[in-house]
Amino acid sequence: MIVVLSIKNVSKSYAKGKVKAVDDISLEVRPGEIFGFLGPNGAGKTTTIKMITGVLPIDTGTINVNGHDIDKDPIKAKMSMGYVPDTHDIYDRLTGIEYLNFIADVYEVSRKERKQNIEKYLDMFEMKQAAGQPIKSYSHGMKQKIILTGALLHNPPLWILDEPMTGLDPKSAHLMKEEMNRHCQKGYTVFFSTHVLEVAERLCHRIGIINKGRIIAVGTLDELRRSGDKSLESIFLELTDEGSAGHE
Amino acid sequence: MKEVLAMSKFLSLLKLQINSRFGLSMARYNFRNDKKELWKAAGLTFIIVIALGQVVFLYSYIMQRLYMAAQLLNSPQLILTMGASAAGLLILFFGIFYILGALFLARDTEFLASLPLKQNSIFLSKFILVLLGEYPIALFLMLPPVIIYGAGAQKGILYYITALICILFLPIVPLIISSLLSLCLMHIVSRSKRRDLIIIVGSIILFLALFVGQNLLLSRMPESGTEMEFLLEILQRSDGLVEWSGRIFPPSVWITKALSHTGAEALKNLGYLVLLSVVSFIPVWLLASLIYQRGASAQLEAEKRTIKRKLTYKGSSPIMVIFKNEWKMILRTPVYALNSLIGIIVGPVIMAMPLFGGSFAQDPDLQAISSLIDQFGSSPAQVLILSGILVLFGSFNAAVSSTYSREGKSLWILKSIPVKPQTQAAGKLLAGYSISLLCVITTSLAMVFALRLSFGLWLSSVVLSAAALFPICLSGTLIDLIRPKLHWNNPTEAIKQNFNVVLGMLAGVIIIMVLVALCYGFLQLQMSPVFLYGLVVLILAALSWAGISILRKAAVRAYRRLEG
Ligand SMILES: Nc1ncnc2c1ncn2[C@@H]1O[C@H](COP(=O)(O)OP(=O)(O)OP(=O)(O)O)[C@@H](O)[C@H]1O
Ligand SMILES: [Mg+2]
Repeated sequence: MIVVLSIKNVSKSYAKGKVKAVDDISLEVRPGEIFGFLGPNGAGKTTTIKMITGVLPIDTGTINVNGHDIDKDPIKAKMSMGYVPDTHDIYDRLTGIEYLNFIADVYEVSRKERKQNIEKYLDMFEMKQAAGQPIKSYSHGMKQKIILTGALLHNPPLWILDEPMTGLDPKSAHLMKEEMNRHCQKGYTVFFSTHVLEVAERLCHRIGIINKGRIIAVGTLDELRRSGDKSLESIFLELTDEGSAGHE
Repeated sequence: MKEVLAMSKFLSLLKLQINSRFGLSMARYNFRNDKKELWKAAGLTFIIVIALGQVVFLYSYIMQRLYMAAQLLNSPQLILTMGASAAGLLILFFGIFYILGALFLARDTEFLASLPLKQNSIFLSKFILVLLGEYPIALFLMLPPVIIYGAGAQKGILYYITALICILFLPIVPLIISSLLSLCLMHIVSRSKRRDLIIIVGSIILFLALFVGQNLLLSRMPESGTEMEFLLEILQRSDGLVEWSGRIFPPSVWITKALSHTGAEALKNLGYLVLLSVVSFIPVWLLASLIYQRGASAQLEAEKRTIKRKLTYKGSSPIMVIFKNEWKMILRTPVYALNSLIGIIVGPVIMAMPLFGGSFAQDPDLQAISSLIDQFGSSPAQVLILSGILVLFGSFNAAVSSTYSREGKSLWILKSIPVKPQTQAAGKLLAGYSISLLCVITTSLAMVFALRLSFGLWLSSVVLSAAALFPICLSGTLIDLIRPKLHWNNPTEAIKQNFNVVLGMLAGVIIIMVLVALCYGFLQLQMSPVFLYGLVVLILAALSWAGISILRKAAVRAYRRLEG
């Protein structure tokens, strides 16, 4: 079976401490899939995503992206990803277009494709005007849109987003969800973490729930429901509550 | 093809870093949108040029005098050696902080780590960024001697071209040494738990090791014969004096020879410089491609103590809250800790040097100080001189004139909390002042041992210097309050590459000079000691009082104006 992202027995504790932020998780994500990654605050979502994208070193286990090991072959693995982090602490003093051109250079996007893609997304997000101004002058949502655009410039087989909905206005959120659908129709994969359960419910083909560094459930919505017609919210609350009560 | 692609990726990265670091796009945008901004920048540049112009003038004047003295010794090229060693050493000592800041403590580490870039490209781009930042210092220290010597020896265009090449290569070797040391330090840090502590302690140890190492290099005295024979021998060889004084930083000898000789000899020495720079870079670069990323990523991880600490909910007065917060921020941010607290360590080390022997014991400055002190017995002059030295050490305090800059993007917190701007300014001032005080205490204690001071002498100089440091710290805080540098990408920029710090120290030096002149005048008048101290303290109190009222007004106004 082809997988775009495979996580095998990965653990991570920050600063060589004893507390594990991510504890022996394994996960496989397939092409053409939108995968939602859910969990309470501090569960380990961001930590997992940072290990996938090569920002944090992995303590034990392996992560493969598009067949490339992120630890052994980081450049190839990163070339197959587009990453939208949860913070927007980027080069404030650059203009939006300078940032996008830099990203295009780094991901080796050809001139033609670059122009086409940048124009398409700037139009879509109504950012044409702002692109020439320093990122410092942007609002939170505008920064998010520039980063979203940057992550899509090279048509990455794996698009990873960490809480992408925060700060977007309804229209932009809608556009982004459409873009996620379009991305997976092309046969590519979307992996994102979120706290907005309705979005996950409506958008995702499969959902993984992480709590206290462990994955406690993976599957389609129907599989998670097990029985009955519960909402994702009640499933989520039930599962994560069980975890914290300590009887698994 | 692959190489070309890698190269263009690298250039793009370098361009981005330079643009962001020096705020090129931002400036362009500001100028286009707001003409007033242009005038402000022009005005500021003017002030900076004037301020720096005086320093350059003073330096050139000293160099000119040295040139004339060196001519008598038949080695006028000696000023080139001096300029080059000064630049080399300065870059070596302080480069370690720049390199640590840019390589490991920058805010873009996380972003860069997620991109498909090789770790050695990231390393190289940051190295070049720091290198570019060092050129102003190299130019400032090298150009005056180059021009003075060039004019004196009637050198042609080739000389100036060679000089330019020398200046371009001068900072490379010191920065390579700093990079090597910080790569190793951060590698150790990434494998340990108490990270912040190790960074602070480790880099202070590195700094001191460099200092002592340099001192040892300097104290390599003749193996045999008397000092007199040795000096004679040095003077007889044509480049003897250059080689002897350049041993503190060997590339400075090559630079001198490349510039003062012609033909093959010049070329050979220029070759040494270039070759050493290139050859020593390679192993460091290779090392970086193995261990750089790990060390940088480790900085993203905070230590989580397993020991449960009780959360305290004790309240403090607003001033104390700000004061404590300043100290916490300084102690928990390695770059701030290093730059702010270095005086507390360097002051006593310099003062205690005579105890360790070595060449600093024969340092003419120290001997002059000690003979001055002996000469005056226990007169007020002695107290004044000691206090003057202490104030000088205490005034080199980067924490004071970067206190608002360090807030950076979090300035909104200060603006939004219900504590008056005046109170906040007071808390910040006290925090910075307490660092200067600590420096005075450690330095004066080292003096007690090195110069065998009496208790009374010690106490009165500490009290007097503490009083004098208050208005000095005030002026530093005020400078940073008026025009804080809030847009930075790594904390080093907020404290090390912050012009306010330079201005603050300049202001401190000016205040000290005025005080020294006043005290000198009083001494000439043969006043009674009690009257003299009273007068000095009165002047300082008046200065402080005036400063406080200005600071209060400025704080209110600045909080209204700053956009954070
Ligand atoms: N830089 C860091 N240094 C030390 N510990 C960290 C760091 N970042 C996160 N942690 C710890 O790791 C654990 C997992 O955090 P993580 O950020 O992955 O959670 P999350 O699922 O993304 O939460 P949220 O929904 O709040 O974003 C938490 O216990 C957190 O305290
Ligand atoms: Mg998170």
